[in-house]
Amino acid sequence: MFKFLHAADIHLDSPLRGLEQYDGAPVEQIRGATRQAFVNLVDLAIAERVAFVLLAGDLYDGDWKDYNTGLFFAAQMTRLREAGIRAFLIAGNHDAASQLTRYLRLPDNVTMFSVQQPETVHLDAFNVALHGQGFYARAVTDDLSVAYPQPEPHLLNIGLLHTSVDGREGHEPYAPCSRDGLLLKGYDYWALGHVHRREILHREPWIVFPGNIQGRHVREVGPKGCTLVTVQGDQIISATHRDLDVLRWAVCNVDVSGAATADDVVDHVRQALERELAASGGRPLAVRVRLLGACKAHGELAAHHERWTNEIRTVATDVGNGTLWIEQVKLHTHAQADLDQMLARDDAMGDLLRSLLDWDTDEPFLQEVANEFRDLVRKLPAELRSGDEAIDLNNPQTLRQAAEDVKHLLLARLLSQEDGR
Amino acid sequence: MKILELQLLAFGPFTNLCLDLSAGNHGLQVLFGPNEAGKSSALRALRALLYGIPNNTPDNFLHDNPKLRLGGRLRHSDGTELAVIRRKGLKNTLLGFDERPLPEATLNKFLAGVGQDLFTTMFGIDHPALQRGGEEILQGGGEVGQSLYSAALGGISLRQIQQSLDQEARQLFLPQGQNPKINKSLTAYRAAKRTIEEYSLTGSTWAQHTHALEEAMAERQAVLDELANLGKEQHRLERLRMALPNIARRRELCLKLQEYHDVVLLPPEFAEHRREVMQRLEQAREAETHSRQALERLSLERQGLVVPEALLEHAETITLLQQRLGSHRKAAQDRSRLLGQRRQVEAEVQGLLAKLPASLALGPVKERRRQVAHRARVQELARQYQARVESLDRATKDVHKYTDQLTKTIEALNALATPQDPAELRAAVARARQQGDLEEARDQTQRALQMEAQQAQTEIGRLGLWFGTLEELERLPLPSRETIDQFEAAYSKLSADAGHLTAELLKMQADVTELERQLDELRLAGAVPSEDDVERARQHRDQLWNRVRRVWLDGESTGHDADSQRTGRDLAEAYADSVAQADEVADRLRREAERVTRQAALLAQREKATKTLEQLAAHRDALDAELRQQRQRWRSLWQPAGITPLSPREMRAWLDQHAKLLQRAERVREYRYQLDRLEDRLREHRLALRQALLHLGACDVATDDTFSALLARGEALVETIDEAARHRRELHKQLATIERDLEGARHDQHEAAELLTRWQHDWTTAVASLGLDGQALPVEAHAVLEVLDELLKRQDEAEGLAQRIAGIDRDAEVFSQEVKHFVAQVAPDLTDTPVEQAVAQLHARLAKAQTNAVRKAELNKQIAAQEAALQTAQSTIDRMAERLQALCRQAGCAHPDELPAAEARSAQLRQWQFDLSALEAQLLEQAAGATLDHLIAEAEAADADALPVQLADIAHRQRELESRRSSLDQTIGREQTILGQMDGSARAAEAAETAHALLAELRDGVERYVRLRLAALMLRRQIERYRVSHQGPLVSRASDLFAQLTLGSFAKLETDYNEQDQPVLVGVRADGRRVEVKGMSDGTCDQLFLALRLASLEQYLANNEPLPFIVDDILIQFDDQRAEAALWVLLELSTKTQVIFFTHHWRLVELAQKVAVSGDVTIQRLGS
Repeated sequence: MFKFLHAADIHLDSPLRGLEQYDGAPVEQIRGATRQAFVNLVDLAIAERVAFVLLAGDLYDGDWKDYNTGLFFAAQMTRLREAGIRAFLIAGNHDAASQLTRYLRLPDNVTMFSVQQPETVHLDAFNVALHGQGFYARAVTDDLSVAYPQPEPHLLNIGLLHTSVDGREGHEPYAPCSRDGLLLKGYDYWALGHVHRREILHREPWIVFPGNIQGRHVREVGPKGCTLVTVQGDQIISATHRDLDVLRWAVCNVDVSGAATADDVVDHVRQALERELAASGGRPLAVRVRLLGACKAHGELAAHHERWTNEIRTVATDVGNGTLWIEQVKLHTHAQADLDQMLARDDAMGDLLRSLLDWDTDEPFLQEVANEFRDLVRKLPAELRSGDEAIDLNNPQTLRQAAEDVKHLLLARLLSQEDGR
Repeated sequence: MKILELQLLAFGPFTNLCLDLSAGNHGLQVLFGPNEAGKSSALRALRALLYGIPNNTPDNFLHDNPKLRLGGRLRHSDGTELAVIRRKGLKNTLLGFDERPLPEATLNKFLAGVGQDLFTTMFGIDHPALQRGGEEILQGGGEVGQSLYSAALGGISLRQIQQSLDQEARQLFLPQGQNPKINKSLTAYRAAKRTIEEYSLTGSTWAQHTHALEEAMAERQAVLDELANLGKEQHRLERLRMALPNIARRRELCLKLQEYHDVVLLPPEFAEHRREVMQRLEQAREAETHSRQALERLSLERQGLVVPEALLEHAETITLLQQRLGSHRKAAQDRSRLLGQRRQVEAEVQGLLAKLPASLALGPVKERRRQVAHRARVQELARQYQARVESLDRATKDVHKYTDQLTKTIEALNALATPQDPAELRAAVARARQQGDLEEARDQTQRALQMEAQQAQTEIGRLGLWFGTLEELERLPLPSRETIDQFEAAYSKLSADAGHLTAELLKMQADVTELERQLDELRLAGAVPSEDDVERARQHRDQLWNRVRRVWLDGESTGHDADSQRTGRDLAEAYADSVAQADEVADRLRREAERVTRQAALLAQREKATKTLEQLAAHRDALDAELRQQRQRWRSLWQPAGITPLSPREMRAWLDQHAKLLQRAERVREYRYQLDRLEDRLREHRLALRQALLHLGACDVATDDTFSALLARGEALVETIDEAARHRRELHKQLATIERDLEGARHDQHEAAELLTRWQHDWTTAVASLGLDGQALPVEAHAVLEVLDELLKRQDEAEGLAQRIAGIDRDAEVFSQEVKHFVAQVAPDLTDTPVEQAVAQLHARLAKAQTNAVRKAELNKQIAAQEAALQTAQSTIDRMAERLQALCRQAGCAHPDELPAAEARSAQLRQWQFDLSALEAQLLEQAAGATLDHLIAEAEAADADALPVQLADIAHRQRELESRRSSLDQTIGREQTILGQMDGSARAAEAAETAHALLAELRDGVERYVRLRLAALMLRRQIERYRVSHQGPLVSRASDLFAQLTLGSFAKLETDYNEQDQPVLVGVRADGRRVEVKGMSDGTCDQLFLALRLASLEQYLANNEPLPFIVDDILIQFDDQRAEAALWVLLELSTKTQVIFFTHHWRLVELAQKVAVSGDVTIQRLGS
């Protein structure tokens, strides 16, 4: 009997995204989270005395240039070497784009599969044949699995492949293939990479996405880690998930319907965070709080979003004892008063609400808005001007979204006794 | 919707109070609640009925939270009615009258979508809101959009909202700023990016350094190898160079050794051994000679010595005799000294005997010794004598002393006065003490009273306007403060109006003067032609023409008047002139049309200005009259008090002063009362003290003694009586003690006398044996005893001396006999010599014999020793000669004299052998493991002259290589350090994390900034849109209301443009003067705001379901006329919706009653 580890999408030194630092956030605990998670992986391999480790692509972030990351990786591989464990790697789309792979010298226990054609490595001690091919370019659109060799009889055949299979939401459709196509190959285990969500596409034979080892933003929620596979004779008898993540991401939906005051809302959030924390098993948590429901407190929340975000962060620091990081507090609440009814009214308030609807066809006004934000846009870094995390102020959709918030903000200020009057 | 009924079932201070608000169509309901009557609770109840009782309601002080209940009946404008009950709670707080829960939505129809916030802002107005609204308009400079929109939203401060939006945005971002949040984040983000760059390591850098390191290491190894080889060769050559001279020397030595091959090699210690043997032989021969000479000399001396043996045998006896001779001589000397001493002692005995009483002097010596035996008894008695006499003396003195004391104490007791009982006085004093310092208290109160009264008098003086006593002041009939306030308000308004009027008047006068000046200016520039002038010229022309026609056509004479004298030609010329003149005038009129119109305009303006001036003057006169009236009323208000008042403001200060004086009057009364009470108590205590003193016989107490004097006197008297009693007790105690002591002293005296008598008897007996009678003093007895002692001692001394002299004589005789006998035996030649001389001679002879005997024994010993030494020397000589022979045999010499040469040769041989082996050892070392022969062969093969050159080459190459190695070491160290720093550090990654955190922060900031800015822009847009679409009707309606509310002080409201070209509201006076908002008083601004509020509300009511308008005491700062006007306006509003008017003030109720005469007004009172 022997075991091996299957992991993918390490994305070493890829920073965690969207975590604004604030007093009380567990900054130090989660510094270098992807490195810590990778160290956890190597620790696990050593502790479980696995026969070998499979890394199915995307060791690095494609645009990350610091060679120190490669040196760190090499150092971890050396730890495996000292424990007598071999490691097998294929290049993923990110690795193909990365400059780090070019000069890196890896210890002799590490084998990198060719990117030109499928390769097979025989591990005679375990009766195992490993088949694999890495990405030769950032975007590989061919089905690489087609060219993989036929399974070798009387051996455990394992295929390493970086692929999106038949497409996964939020992932580039690289090296497309189909589940059935993979099954047809007749391998015992397909060690896949690329998709960050853990997914077992098939059991016996196995097709497994282990997911990435550390969530990096709020879209990568839940436990993250690798798959530990146990082989008895020539049979795979189990493939279990093992947590490696240092910080876990979660979206916490809090129904605050009927909350009379913003303080009540904070109390609701406190309870929800306590539940969330109990489920995380003591790991630091990065939480996006989404407040839902109709409540009187909506006005106050909308009018002073920053203040109540800070209140919730303070509560989180208190509840989590320094392990909770509130990524964002998103307001999806609405006032109990029916806006539609208000909108229909023939008075100053109805007038205001109506004026908040037709502004985007008011050319002079749009021009005024564009002028207003010109200075700001000019100063923003490229990351905020384009890409996933951009705030495109020239996009009407962005402004429309903001206008929706503005509606609540203005209403709240106009109606709230303390500030409006 | 109308609230028909509000039932305060259990709420605030109310229990089951039902307010009927149903009167009229909508109606104006005035709810009057004096302070504490629960006006605020009722107001809150209205809102709570519709929107629920707040969690933290203050209205649960009488009824507990669960018991709070409100009821109400509502009527929709479509006529439907709803009756509900509201309880406090979290859910199901709206109930039907059957107490069954109703869904909250039941109210929706009646509230028409107006939430609580909106209801509070739009349908409620209280005094602070009114003031805020007025202030807001003033601050905004009457900006139309803001004023209208703010009023439409119930008086919200849009300006504040806009400012706060702007400020929050500025805190987030400024295009040129450093400190706002976004600017800071941007700076930090750029820094983080730089950090990433700085700490990022490229792969090529790493590869480059790795390669450089490896190359340097390889080259270093090569250098090291070559150095090792060079070292070996250098060593070999060095070895050979050093071996060459040794090899040469070795060859030489071998040749010498060859020559000495037959030399006997002696042991190294041979020469030493040989020298030692020869030395010892020599020494032995010298010793032999010496011993022989000594033996000869010693034998000769022994033969010369004589020793008398007989004398030596008696040596002991002779020595003894010699010693005894010394004693014998000394005894002879002693004897003559002792004889002298005996004679002297005997003389002293005779002297002493003469001193004794005759009876004793003659008695035998034995008798005297018995008398001396009594001495102890006599001495003991003598010692006792002094003690006995002294104790008797002491006892007698004590008796005298105590008797004396007793007498004195009894006298003192008799001198004391009779005792008195101070109890009554003591009680009176204690009671007085308990009162404290009554006099001081009285004085203080008196002083305070005086001061207060004096102060009051001074203040009355200072008060002015009125003079009199404090009591009169208290009774003054004065007007109330409120009345004064009213007068002041009226005054200030009147004077402000007058001020305005005067200013306007002056301005108008200036205008008229200016107009006049301009007209004059025009006229001075030349007469301005008028239409009249043209008309006149044309008429003149036409008249002439008619005459010309008449003359010309009708043949009329040219003249029947003044002109008739003229010829026809004259007429024609006159006509032509008139035509020209008319044309000229008409031309001028046309040419100077501008001047003409200007003059006309100026004339018109002047006329208008003059009229206005008259109106203003009239207005001012009216105002002056009113002011005078007001003053008259003001003065008459103070008439009853006989005061000619100053201005209301001053009079208010005067009233404050007066109020203070009233307080002072109160204090004066209080002090007087205290003073009376203190005096009473003082009198009472003085009486009590005085009586008690008199009872104790203090007759000198005067009736007018002060309280404190009496008290002090009383305390002193009590103290004196107590002191006397204490003294008496002490004297009695002393008396008892003295009597006891006297008794003791008498007893002691008696005992001492008895003891003395007994002693006298014993003494007489004791001194009788000394020949003395009983009268003799102890001193006398002592003297006799001393003489007796001395006498006995001298007699004993004389006897001892006699015995010693006899002993000496006896010993001398025995000695002489013994000497004579011995001499006869030993030295018969001395028989006739005196004893002493004989003994001395014998002694001298013995000494000589003893000396000789000793010398002879010594000589015998020395001779024996010399004989032994001689023998030893002879045997040594034999042994050494033998050994010398053996040495010669060993060295192969025939005679010992040849031995030194043989030894020298042997030493030489040994030296050469030693040198050879040392050389060979050195060579073997230089051979470095090879054999000697191999080395010699190698050395012979080498070219000795080339060696130094070869070695120099090697050294040079070595230096080169060392330098290279050092440089390589540096390179390796440097590269290793660089590579060591490339340790997979996470610094760049950490900076990337920081950068992403900052991006998140930036994103958040930007989103908030965008929303704040967008909100500000949209609000501005909305305000402008609202203005554009509502300005006309709203301003028009507000204008009417404003005129009404200001009692026509303003005729209307209009819009105008300010310096920034923004539309602003202005008030227009009846005379058309425009007053900007900043020119309006606070009160007028409040009324302007109210006008705008009501106009907006009316507009709302025209299009929506009406809701009751809740007015909370907004008129408290309006004067009566304006308040009444406002009530009329509200009454008018109540035709459109229900108006519920809360007030604390009865005055407003009175005004409402006036208004009620002609409208739907109901007035209810809250509470009792």
